[in-house]
Amino acid sequence: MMDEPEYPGAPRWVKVAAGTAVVLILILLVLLLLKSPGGHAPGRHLSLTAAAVTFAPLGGG
Amino acid sequence: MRFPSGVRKLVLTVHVITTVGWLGAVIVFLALAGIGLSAADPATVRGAYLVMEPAARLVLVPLALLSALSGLLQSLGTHWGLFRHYWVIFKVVITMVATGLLLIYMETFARMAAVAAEPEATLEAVRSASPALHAFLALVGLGIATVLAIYKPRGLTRYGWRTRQDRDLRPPGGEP
Repeated sequence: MMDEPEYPGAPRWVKVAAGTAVVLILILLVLLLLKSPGGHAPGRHLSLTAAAVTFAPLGGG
Repeated sequence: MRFPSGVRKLVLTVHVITTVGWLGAVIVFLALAGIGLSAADPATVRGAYLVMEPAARLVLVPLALLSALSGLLQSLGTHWGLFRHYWVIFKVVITMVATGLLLIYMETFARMAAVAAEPEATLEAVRSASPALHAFLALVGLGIATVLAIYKPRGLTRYGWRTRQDRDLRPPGGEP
């Protein structure tokens, strides 16, 4: 019976790209957590003034 | 399942058109975001943020969905497969993540448009660096996906390796 050749493993570019992606995702997560405890909420993209205008009651006050 | 040659070419054409179109649309959004951040004329600044939401809904979202769908079909209907080559997996992940983030970001476009339409909102409140940042990141991601599609770097996954071994060991004239 012939032995099957062994899987040579992932090439170097895959390991480098996957490692880079993991590092970038971790940095992004840390930045998001530092900026907003609520995560990637769309509201965090607005400045405070903008948010105040957006969510102000229609009747003013 | 392998597509016949005609279907394969049709799906590939749709995939190239929608993906390159998506990339071009993102470049336009980057320009719009730059205009919104730098223009001095208040109407131009408000107009930039007002037009982003409908433009994204009518152009970015359909192109992203069509690109993702045609990419999936293209990989499943050809010898490349979905899980055989690392470059295909990377490209699918980039496309899916970019499409998902775009769909989530639609709410942000709507909110920014609402602020821009509010006459009492100051220009500082209307301006936002967020679209420029997101468009830049999308450009990088889609650029990487395009490079992967053109260069197709070598590298079989374990599944792809096993499939190739099975195919090579199969006796000639056996079951396909």
